[in-house]
Amino acid sequence: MDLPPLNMLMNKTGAMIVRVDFETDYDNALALLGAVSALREHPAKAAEAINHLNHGFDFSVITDPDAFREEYEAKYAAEGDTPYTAGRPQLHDFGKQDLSSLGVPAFEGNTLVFFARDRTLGIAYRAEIPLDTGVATYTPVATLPD
Amino acid sequence: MTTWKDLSKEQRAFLINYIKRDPGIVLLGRAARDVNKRIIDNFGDYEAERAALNAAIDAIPADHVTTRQGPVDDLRAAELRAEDGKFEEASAMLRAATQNAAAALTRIQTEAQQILQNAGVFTVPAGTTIAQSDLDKLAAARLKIQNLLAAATPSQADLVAARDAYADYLEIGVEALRAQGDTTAADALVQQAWATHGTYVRAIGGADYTDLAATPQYAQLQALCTQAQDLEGEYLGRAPQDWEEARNIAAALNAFGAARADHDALLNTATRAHADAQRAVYNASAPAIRTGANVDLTRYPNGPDLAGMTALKGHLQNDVAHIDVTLGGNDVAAITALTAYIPLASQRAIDMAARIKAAELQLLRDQMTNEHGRPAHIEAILTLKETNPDAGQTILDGIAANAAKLNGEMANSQFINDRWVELKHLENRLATENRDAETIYNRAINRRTNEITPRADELKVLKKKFFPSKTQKTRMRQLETELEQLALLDQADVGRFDAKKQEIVVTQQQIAVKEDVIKAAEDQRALFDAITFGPLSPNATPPLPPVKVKEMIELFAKAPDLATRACKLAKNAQDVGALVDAALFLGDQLQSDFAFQPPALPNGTLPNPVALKPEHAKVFAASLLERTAYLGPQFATDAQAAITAGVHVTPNPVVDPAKGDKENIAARATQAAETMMQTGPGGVVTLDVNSPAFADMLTMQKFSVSGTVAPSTMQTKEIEKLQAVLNDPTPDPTTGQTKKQQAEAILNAVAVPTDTRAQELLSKSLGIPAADFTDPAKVAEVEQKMRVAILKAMITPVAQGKVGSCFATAGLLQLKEEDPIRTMGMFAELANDGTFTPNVGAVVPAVVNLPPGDDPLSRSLEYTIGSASARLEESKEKQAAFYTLMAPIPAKGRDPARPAPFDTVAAAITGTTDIAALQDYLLSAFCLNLTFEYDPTMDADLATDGSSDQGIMRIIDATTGQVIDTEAKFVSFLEDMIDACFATGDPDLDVTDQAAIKAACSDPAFLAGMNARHEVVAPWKKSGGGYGAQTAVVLHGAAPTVSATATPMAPAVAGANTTARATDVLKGIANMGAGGNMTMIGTSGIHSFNAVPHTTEMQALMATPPGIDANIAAFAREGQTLKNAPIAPLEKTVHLFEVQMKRVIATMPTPEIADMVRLNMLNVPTYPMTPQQLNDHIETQMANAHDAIAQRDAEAWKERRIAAGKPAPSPARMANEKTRYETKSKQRQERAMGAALVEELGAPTVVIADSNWGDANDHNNFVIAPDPVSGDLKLFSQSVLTGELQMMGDDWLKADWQKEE
Repeated sequence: MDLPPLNMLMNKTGAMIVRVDFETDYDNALALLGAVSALREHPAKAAEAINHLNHGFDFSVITDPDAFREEYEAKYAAEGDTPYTAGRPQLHDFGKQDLSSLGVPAFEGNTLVFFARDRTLGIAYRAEIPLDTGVATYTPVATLPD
Repeated sequence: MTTWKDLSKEQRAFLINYIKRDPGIVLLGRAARDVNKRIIDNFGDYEAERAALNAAIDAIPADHVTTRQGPVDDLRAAELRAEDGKFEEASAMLRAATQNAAAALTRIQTEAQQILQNAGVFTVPAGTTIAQSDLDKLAAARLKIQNLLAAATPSQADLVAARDAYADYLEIGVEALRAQGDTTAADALVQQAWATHGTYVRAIGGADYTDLAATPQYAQLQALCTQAQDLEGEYLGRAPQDWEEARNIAAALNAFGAARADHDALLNTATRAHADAQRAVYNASAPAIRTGANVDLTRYPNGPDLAGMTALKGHLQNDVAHIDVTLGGNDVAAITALTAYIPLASQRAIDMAARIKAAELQLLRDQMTNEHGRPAHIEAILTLKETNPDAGQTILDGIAANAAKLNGEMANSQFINDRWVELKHLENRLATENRDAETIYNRAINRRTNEITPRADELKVLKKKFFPSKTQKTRMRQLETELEQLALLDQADVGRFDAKKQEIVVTQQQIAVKEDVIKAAEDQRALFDAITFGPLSPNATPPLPPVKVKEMIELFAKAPDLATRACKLAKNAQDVGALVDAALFLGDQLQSDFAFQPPALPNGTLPNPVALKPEHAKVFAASLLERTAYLGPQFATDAQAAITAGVHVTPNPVVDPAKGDKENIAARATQAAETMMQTGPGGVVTLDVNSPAFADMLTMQKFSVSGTVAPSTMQTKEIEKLQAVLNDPTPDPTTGQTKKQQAEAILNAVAVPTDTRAQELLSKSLGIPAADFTDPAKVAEVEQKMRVAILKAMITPVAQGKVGSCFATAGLLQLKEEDPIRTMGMFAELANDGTFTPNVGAVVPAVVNLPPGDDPLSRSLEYTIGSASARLEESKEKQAAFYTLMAPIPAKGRDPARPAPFDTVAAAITGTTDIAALQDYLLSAFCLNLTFEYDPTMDADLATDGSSDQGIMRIIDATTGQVIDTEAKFVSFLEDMIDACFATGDPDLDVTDQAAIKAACSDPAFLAGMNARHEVVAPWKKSGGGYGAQTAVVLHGAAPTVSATATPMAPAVAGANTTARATDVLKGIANMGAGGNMTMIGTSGIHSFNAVPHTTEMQALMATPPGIDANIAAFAREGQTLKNAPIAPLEKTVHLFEVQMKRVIATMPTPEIADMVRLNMLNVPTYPMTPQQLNDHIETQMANAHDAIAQRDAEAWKERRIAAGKPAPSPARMANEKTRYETKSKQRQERAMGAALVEELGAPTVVIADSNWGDANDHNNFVIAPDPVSGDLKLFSQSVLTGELQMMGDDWLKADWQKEE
């Protein structure tokens, strides 16, 4: 099924919305998934839309795990052992994440699973959204043992 | 004869019983009437007789009871007859009785008349004369009889009395007749007696014994006086020829005269008693009078009033002689006159004593002046000697004890400076001697190495040859000769070296002596300052009790460092009395290094006393003193009890002196956590903070030295705070649980974490091996350690580390203060899950990048909150960007209101583009495709609003990762976004408008609108730093939307001075008065921390009347008062000069520059300076040091620059850099001085906030206080433990102050 045009926008009240086919605005995941059933066949777009509705300001969906891993490793290495600095979050503040499980957005049964990058902290989260509830859970990806 | 009608009503009622009834028969009726008539007649007679008898009875006075009884009995008998109707018989009885009564009456009257008649004349034999006195007595007796019998019928009593009086009358007469004698002889008798004693009697009768009124004999003397006067009166008033009277008077005169000796003895005794009483009065002042009379005036050749003293001495000598003579005599009047005289003499003695005192003080003053005492010190000592003699004497004793060491001088700055110069000379000499010794040594070593050893080796080889050649022999001789010469040189150098070593030893000894002298002088000087204007002076607030002053002075002799420290701490001490008592106690303890005698062993052996190492004892005493100043009397009491019990010498088993302070403090926290937990059945943990073990642990942590002295005052306080929380019986209104139950629930809910961050934190906290987290056998052990880690975090003081996490620190500090159980829950989440769940935003993983040694859970929570706040700030910046684009910009200051920037874009549309759709696109593109990043190192170029301009929020194009840092890049980004919007193919966007819309983004009106909001220079140069408001949302916010929560508290005001700003800040904090103990606030771009509006000082400022405005104004005026007042006495100016210079010296970067400043300390102020004058004076002394520092720093900068591969700076650039470093150096010095002046001048301080700064042992507050130099109110940080201040830069007060909750 083809997807209609989806625009990730923010309205004048500051609320995150997904505008479908330049016409209809949705501000919650469950309604959007109900209205655009094609999203169930496009996990990446679904992840982008649902992430936008839940944490549009704070997270971005990781669509290219390898690129993220590469970028993460490079930045992590570049940071060295710089001490924690207030206001300037660093990757190693939170320990080195085990990014081996990172993958592209996918439906696992009735649950949409994707990974998202915390735009401020730079670290990866695993997000799970059961399609029947539309309630997203973001969990930081675990670190590697020392 | 009586008719019925004559009868009374009662009579009729009585008589009716006797009247016969008319039967109705005429004849018989008439007869009845006759009968009745007769009855009535008889009754009438009866009544008349009865009345007559009654009258006769009444005529006899009532007390003639026996006389009256007969007629009365007759009356009753007659009445009985009458009741029987026998009226005639009754009448007869009454008539007879009446006659008897009349006869009795007559008998009474006759007897009375007879007595009167008999007493009328007392008949005496012819030729006999009765003495007049007896005649008088007879007349008196007669008169008495006549009075008794004056009535016609006297009463029985009068009649009996008259009979007795008549008997007396006769007795008098008979006696008179018996006693009559020779009146002539009687008269001669009395005349003879008067001739013998009359003069004496008259003298006694005229004597005045008033002076002796206070003596025990006075009453007797006065009685004698009266007796004599009576005797004379009787003598003079006696009747002629009255034989009896004459005889009596003569006898009385003779008796009185015969007792003359007794009277004289009595008078003498009274006179002695009088004199003794005066002597007793005299004795009270006699020593003073005699002292004044005997004073040796040659002792005071330069006394202030020698002439007056000489005259007074003469007076007093006269006084002594006069009083002694008078008291030894019998002149009662003279003795009495001493009553007035002795006080006058006493007053003269007092005057003399005052003059002696003044002369003695002058003597002492002269002596101390000769010993180079400073005038203010001398006067303070003299005042002390006068008002608190014991203390004054102790000072003088101390001066005497130090006289030898101080070369007979009193300590003063000149003396100390001179000794310091000498010390420096000695140190220089020692350095030279060391160098010389080194030179000699090196020379000798070189000679031995390079000349002797090779020759000796060569000679040794040659000597081994059996057949040396001639050349070799020649060489051997040459070598031997050279070696001999070299040995001589070596020997000489050894001698020189030994001599130099001796010189060095001597110089070292001299240095030690000099240092000892300087120390003694500095200690004495500190004591002098303390009694002159410090806490031991009479002007101290509050003044110490005299006995404490004396004891503190003694402490200066015993433990001068401790005494000086106590004086320093006094200003900020919670209880000065407790501080002084503690100092005295610790001073005693220091004498024996806190020696403790353990109790005897069971076998009776007394173990050896245990003491601290001397270096530990000093540090321990100082620490206890500081903690007493901070914590007050209870701590002092606990300390004494603990030391008495030997806790201080009992090692705390968890403390390892080989480890660092942080490790030991962590060990103590672990110990406290473990002690408060008890594990019950099923592994359920309960908390007990009231057990003896817990109390012992606290005592141990406070007072055990344990091989190291690293107090953890603030951590101990946290333990006690947690103790109070767990003892709070108030149930939670929602759950009904107490805090203890809630805490236990949190602890019992822990579960071994699978999260690696949680594991890392726990491993760092308690050293849990990684393998234990997955070992099923270790579950209980790990969980117990998790509980310990959580409790350990709870008792770790929240204080900002070395990173700029102030906003998070402040938030955590406030949360822990206001809601400790929730904080505990957060620690538990970190331990269980390795995460922190903010109130707003997604869960944040625990920060594990922590400074070594800090408590992992506590610091991690602080940093993780900081990370959550940073993320929220990022969101807030996007929100702000949204407002910047869309909302009209209100007028602010001189800037006019502006339309929203988007209006400029909308105005450019000429095609069919839907404006609302375009707005959504632009808004989304602008907000969602920009990211913000804080760079604390960049300069925002903000200059005028007072806020910090250090640190900006950089914006980054999220689609390209490029930093937008120019207007061109910003416009380019917007154009790209517009292109992207149109690329969506949305039919609501008309491509014919695309170019115009992009062009609008370059419109100056659009860009000006973008720049106008939030006082930014440009969107890509937005100031940042400090996420206090975001932290408040993270911890307390409820709204899911992102919004700034900071509200203005004291907004920056351009051009306002610090007093005006401090006033705004104080009022802003006062307005929070109704809130909790802490309120998060921030100074824009500088710092986030917590206001404490409930401090005593803040409450005082809020007092109404007069109200906060007036109170703050009065507070601010204190600064002007301090600014304008010279610091008197001069010694106080000198003291402040030296205190400040020493502070500055301590900050000097090299010993050479420090010595440069120290040398300038010789230029002590010569007059009492105002703070500004003192400041200027110090600036002058610092000039060469600032120059040296600036030169050094500029050179270092130059070297760094060259090392970085940059070209060497030009001389002009170097000059600029040097000027910059010089300015910085001056600023550092001025801040240090400003703080010292506030401390030393006792300027009032108002604690306004908790700074977040501190460690396990100390913490800092922010206070506002008047700066004595400028007179303005300034902001300072202040140690809660020591009270020491640090002046903050003016930028702090001038920044925007915001409430961040």
